Amino acid sequence: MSPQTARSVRSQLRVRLRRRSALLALLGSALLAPPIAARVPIEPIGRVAVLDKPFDPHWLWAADALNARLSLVDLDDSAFLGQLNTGWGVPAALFPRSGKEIYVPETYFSRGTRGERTDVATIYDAISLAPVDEVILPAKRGINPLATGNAALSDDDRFLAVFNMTPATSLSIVDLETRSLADEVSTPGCSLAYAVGARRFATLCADGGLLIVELDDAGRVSRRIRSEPFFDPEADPVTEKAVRWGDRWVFVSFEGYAYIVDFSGDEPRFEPRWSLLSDEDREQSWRIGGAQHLALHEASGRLFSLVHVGEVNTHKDAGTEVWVYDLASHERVQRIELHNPGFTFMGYPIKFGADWFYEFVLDHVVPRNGIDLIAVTQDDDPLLVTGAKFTGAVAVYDARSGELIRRIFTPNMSMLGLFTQPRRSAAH
Amino acid sequence: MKRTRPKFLAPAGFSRGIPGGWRIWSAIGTAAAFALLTAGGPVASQQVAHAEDAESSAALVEPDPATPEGDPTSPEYWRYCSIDGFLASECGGTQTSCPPGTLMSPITWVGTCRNPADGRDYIVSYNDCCGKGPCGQTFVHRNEGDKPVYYSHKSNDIGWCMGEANAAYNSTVSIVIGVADEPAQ
Repeated sequence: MSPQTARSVRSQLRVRLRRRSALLALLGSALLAPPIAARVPIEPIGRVAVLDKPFDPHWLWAADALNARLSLVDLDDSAFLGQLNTGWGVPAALFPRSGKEIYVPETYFSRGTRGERTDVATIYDAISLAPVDEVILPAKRGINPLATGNAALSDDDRFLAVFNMTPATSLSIVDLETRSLADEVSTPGCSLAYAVGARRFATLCADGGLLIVELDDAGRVSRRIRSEPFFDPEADPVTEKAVRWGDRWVFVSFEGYAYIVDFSGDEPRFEPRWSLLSDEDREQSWRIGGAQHLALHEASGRLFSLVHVGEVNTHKDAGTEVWVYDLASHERVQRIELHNPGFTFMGYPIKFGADWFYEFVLDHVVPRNGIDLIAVTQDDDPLLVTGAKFTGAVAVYDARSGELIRRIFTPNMSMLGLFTQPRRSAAH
Repeated sequence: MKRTRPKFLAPAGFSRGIPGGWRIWSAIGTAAAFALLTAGGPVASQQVAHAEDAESSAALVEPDPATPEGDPTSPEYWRYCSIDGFLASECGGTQTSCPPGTLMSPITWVGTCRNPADGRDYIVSYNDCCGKGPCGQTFVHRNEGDKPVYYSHKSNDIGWCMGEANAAYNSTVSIVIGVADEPAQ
């Protein structure tokens, strides 16, 4: 074979190989490529997600004062579902029986941190989480770190009471049916707001008694009831962080005494106080305390109380255990030792290593600064949620066994209130 | 109010750099503090505070600044026995003057703190500085003698950036306005 013939043969061979390679590549790509019918469809711009339901017993609204918002997370799968932006102060959400809306008292300044102040009760749609209406309030609502007690919704969902302090105290009454301000009710010497019936709100007074205001159909005061003092505000005051148990409210004092007030009758009835702490507990310096130190599971009548070992004046200190009480018998039925909920930085979770290693570090290596807030879901499989002021993480426990189930990282930079769906709206 | 040696109750690891979070506000306006600080409005209030600096420093014996009880940047500084907020002294002001550009709330609440330098109890006014966002520097939360919000004249949970200084909360000062066993000046 001449060299020229040999080149010609090699050249033909290369051409054939190239054709065969191209054929194989074409065949391979045809096999691997998705069918034309499965191509990604052209998608519209402008769609906005909505929740698939207005409430779920295992959803948690977590208050973030630094970001001025309430964050919604699912306690079962840790999903972050959405948020409400709520202005200055510690935001608190109120949930009506209908389940269709969420009410949040908010404060704004026209120049961010200064300028004209506007207080407003914002009405959010519970499915879209969009603001759908608002009622301008007298610009003097009380600003304090309390997660509960600064506003209350009447049991018939008609009126919203918002606590004012200038330092003169009063309640702004919002008519949610007409979407207007119905009245401003003076409550001299008495503060905060607790719903105690279809058209009644109770306030706590500096003399240790209650002032109850009843409203008529227009939201005007039809009756005022002042009770005798039921505790000593100087010697052993009850905290503002009371929890509702049907027609009753459970108040707990700095020294660990439970004061239960029954509002089912015309006048409030005060049950004999009882101690959450035994003599032995007191000898060991156990105390109640925290920013949101009480929770209650209404169906079972279980009271959850955050406790720590500390001296006098530690009534706002973080807790290390939750003690569970049967409200019918006044007996402590459980002690739950609390875990570190985990840390976040600027809303980002600080998580590392394998789960077992991470758990070990949180429970045994890093300082345990304690738990400031607790909440309990109101369903038949209740969850206990615990949080600390300066982390976006919360810990979720089985409220019956006390077993830690999971840690959830919300995007919050601070944690100053935990809200779950009230039992009264659970049926809707 | 219980008079005890000041004691820092907040976790040490969280004393600095806490994001604006929520200062756990201060409480009530006493007639004495109100009368002292409201004359002439907020600006005048600041001038009064500065003037008081000079006067009180002459009369008041401060503890050794090398000790925590004598160091205004320390959470254990004696005047901070019932404070609940960001220290103005760490935010561009001093323990008796608000940071630049803020307004001092004329309404306030008072605590009673023991000065270890002379063993006397002093009435300390915890005025809020308002009009700028939360300072975010050293946050001190001490609850000696603190009561709930409904007992407002002894509650440190109430935000006092209201009234004339109706604006956002920035920080808190600690002004000596009298001796506890003598009428407030």
